Amino acid sequence: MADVSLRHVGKTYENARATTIEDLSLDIRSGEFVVLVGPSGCGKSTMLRMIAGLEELSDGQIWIGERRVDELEPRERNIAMVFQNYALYPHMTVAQNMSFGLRLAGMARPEIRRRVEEAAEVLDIAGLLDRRPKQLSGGQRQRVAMGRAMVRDPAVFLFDEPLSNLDAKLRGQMRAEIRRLHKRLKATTVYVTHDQMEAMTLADRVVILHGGRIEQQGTPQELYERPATRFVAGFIGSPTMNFLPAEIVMTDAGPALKLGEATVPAPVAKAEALAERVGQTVEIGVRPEHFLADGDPSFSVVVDMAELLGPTTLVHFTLAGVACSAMLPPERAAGEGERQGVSIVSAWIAIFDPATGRAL
Amino acid sequence: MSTSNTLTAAPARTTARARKPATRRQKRDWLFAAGFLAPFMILLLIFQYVPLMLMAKNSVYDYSLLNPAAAKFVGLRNFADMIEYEDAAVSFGVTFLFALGVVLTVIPIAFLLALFLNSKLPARGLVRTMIMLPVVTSAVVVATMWSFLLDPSNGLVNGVLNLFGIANQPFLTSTGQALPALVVMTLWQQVGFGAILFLAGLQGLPPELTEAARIDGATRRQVLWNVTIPLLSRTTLFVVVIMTVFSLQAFAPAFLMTQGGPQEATNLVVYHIYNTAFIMQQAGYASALSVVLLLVVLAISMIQMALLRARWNH
Repeated sequence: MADVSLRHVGKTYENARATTIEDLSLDIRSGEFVVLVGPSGCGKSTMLRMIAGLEELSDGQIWIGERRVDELEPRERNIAMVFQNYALYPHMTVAQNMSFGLRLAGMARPEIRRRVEEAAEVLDIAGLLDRRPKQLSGGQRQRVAMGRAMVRDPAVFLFDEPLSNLDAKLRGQMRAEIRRLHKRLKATTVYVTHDQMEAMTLADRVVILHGGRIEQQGTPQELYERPATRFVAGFIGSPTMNFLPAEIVMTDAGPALKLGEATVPAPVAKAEALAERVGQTVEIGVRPEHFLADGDPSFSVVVDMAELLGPTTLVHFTLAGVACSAMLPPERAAGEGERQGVSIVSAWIAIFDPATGRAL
Repeated sequence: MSTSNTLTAAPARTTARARKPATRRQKRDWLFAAGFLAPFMILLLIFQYVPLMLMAKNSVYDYSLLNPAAAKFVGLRNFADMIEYEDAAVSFGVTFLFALGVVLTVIPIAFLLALFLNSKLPARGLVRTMIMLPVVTSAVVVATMWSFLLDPSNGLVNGVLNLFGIANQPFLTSTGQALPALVVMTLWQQVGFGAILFLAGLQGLPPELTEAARIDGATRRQVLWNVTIPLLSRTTLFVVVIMTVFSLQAFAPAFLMTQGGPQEATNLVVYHIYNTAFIMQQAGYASALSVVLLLVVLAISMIQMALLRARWNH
């Protein structure tokens, strides 16, 4: 296993159709599971392909362990990659697919067989070794692609949206399996996805990319609890965070946020920063799960629509002129057209500068 | 278990459906399909299948174009003659040799050209135009041009050879060189078509497969050998069949450049059929030769179909 270091990496395209990456630096520790996440066209796949050597850098350096690799061919970088569409060789059996790299490396046959069988055992595809990719289901192909990466025992594993072609149920299963596999192999892993749920559940560290830049990086919990920008706040979490305009007012208890007619106390941690901005309008972010329907409600709203999700009900309403959603316990959620009393857990309110989009 | 159940259940359902009378919509669809197909099918019938049947009929008659009324039924005599006399064997032999030469040279060169055209190297557009030009040029023009080029006394090719100190070569007038010369000319003419077919095949390959192989540790040559070439087997087979069938049907070079000579060294089957029917006035025997040629071409196509279905169906 090895560290991966991207140093002031840049990528510009002549036709400028794809996203350009400018001066991007990222250090990935040995054994770490890093997920690059972002919307389509944010440059995440380009970054992965640059680490793999499938895409050339316009600027900067890439290091794997003690070696500078950005001038090396993919085969010289000691990496393995799992592709979105699996990229299994259709003319080879599962066993041949998995052993292809080892055969090229001139490894002895008994050792090749041992490794392939061991990986097949771990991935539960031992019974499929003589089949061809065409005869496998999507989930099985996915496992073979992972097996092909595993047998080579590379310094770094690269995953390029490996689960996006699977159905929701299988995706959940494979997610758990990838996590389990990483715990077992402790391999340095760079994983690209556009699915924030995948990023949150898999990663040791999530790197959020936006427009070819790193928007924020940190543990899933950090990103969820303390988003650095409005973009991150909106990207992480499902259903998405509600954004509302609020005026900072001073009360006896300290700074508070005025939302329409009602006032909610500001988070204690932000009191100092807000005290300087009394009278200004900011944008606040409230996650649907941070609305409460019990206790003393701060707002009375009319429910536009209520969606029963099972353990919770997603209630849609308009607050301070903005369409909002709240996750409430089904027994406390009002029906469509009825009035609903809600309050906000003030400790969880995120506050953004409306001009820069950065958290206060 | 559930799989076998569905498998046995499926045919029963199909037969049940087949018994139902066609709905109005199905009838309308059929009518539409027939309407679209009719113009082509009628032309095909008149100009292809009726002459084909006449040919099959003529192959069992002794028959001359000068006096068709005197046609005489001879059974399989014409086919027996093909075995008894040498001309058919020689002509088919020459043709197969010609086809083999064309296929063996076109395939590798067309493939290399396609690799070049598929790369990011400069001058691709120029090369593409250059190799496609002979393909779209009339076979008669090509044959005439090459007759000048290969002229034994003052042809351009001999001129170039002279520059390297090599004496004039007889080319089309030599029993040893005539057929290879025709092969080279056909290669020149057809390699562009082969390259375009290979190029289409190459561009149809998912780029991830080559990328995966490069990451797996393959050098560019190993990628070519282990991934690209095996995955192009269907295209290759297609090019082989197209080139074989084309070579078996070649007529212009033999007719315009060598008249089948010298000493039948380039007596390609189609030219031989033409000669037999229209010069020697043995239309029955020529028909029998045509029937055999048709069966050979048909067999090659069917082998191709079978191979494509059974193997390389990734």
